[in-house]
Amino acid sequence: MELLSNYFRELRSAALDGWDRFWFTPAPAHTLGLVRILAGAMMFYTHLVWTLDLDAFFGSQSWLDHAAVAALQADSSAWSPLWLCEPRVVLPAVHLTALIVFACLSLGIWTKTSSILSFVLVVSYAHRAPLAMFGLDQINALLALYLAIGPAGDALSLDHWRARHWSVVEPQAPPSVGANISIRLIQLHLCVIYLFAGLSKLQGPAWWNGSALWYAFANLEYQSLDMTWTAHHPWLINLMSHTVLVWEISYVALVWPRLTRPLVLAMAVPLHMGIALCLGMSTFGLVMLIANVAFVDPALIASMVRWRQSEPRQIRMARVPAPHSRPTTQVRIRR
Amino acid sequence: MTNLPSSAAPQVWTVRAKRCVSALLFLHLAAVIAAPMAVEPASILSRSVWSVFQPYLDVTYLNHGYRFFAPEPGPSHLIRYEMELSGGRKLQGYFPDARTHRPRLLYHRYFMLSEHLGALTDVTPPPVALDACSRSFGRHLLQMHSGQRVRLYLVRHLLPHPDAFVKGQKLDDPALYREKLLGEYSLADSRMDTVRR
Repeated sequence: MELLSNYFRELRSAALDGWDRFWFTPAPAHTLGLVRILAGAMMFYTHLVWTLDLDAFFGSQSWLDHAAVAALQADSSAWSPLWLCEPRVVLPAVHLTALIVFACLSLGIWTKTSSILSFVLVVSYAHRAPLAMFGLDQINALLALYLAIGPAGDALSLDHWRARHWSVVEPQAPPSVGANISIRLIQLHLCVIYLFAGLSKLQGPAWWNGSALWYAFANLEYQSLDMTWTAHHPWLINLMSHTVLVWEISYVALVWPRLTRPLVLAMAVPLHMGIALCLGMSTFGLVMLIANVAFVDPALIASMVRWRQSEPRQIRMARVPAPHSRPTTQVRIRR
Repeated sequence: MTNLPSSAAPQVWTVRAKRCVSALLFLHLAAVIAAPMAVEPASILSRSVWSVFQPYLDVTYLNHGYRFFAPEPGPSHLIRYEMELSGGRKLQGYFPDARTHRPRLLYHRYFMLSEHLGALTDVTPPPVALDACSRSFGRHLLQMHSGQRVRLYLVRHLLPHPDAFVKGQKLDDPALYREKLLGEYSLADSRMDTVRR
């Protein structure tokens, strides 16, 4: 009995310690900063494309009128402020504002405000035309949400750059719990996505008999690169189908250990680039890769940024050796 | 995660703050998992848990099943329309159309309109949203082309078996297309009545 109670005491203690370490260890904001740059750019492009047919999807005579969207969202709490923006002048103005907000998010200008507004805008567009949305918008929304939660402008942002250059003391943003929580949420959400994407495939015979990818390649409406030659190599289709399935289901377990993480992330590149190139969904493939950046060590990103910043100056220094009487030059190099 | 050297010290959170945030994180993660768990086939428990979180998931646009190409890649759908214009002229078209809808992301938006409508036709009994969306598509087309009457068809494009393809069947073989009338709509009166189903 005592053995059992000791076990549960130890289990409780380990679980609480693990939870505390997982969520509340301060982390540098470089990973979050890189996700912000890329996700903000994707949100900007996603909504820039709406500009080409803005009135047809969001105007007063759009593909989906009030009655259609009300029927689609009959049991839902979803609502979009874009319903208030239908007049011909208001909608373009709101849309232009949205594009500016997404650009600000990507560049890291007024990042806290632009990240919160980005989330509100992404969700507003999605709720206004739900039938036109797909995985890209789902990932855009979750990235916008988690970027709004954390200090996404603490690194790799114009906000941070301005703070550095206007302050007498160089402000190095300290590692923060907020940055860690944001990144952890993206990581866990990604694990949920891959796990359910994989598990739901187990309901289909085509993923078991290995022909599933043929049916993806043979879909003319999706097809952007002709991969139908694979029909002559069934073993290749089988191998690719099984690899996708195993990778998706095992992602949740193998992305965490230090040794397997690089392999799992490396596998994400051909898988998502395959979707991008072969199935005509470059934006979806790219946004999934952007979400995977959340698993990249901030120290690696920071060292790459430092290398990029210092390399040209070091070259310049090598050509024209700086005299010892000019210490300011050396200070600049260290930056 | 690896900590970087920094001149400033990181903030320390109080136990109370950690408890409050932990509770919120737990609820959020429960909601995130509840959404895909509640997609059919789902247990009563999964649906019950999901119903608790549904308002939150709806508002934050996190209410998704993440069934990408699952349970398996299926046929795709297009919408074909035949329209009567003023003076008895006729107009035919379909969407998505890769020739006119560019760039690819815009094409995909049109593709999702027809794909999601196709998915609604698989639900029994047909949901109210199917008729509402078809009617809305019809109204939009009539207003866009100043038409009098439009007939909408859902075109299901089936996928050939790999063996059939190897034996010579083309991906756009007419035998792979199935058509179903969605409705005939008119702008003759402002109520957009269905003329015939």
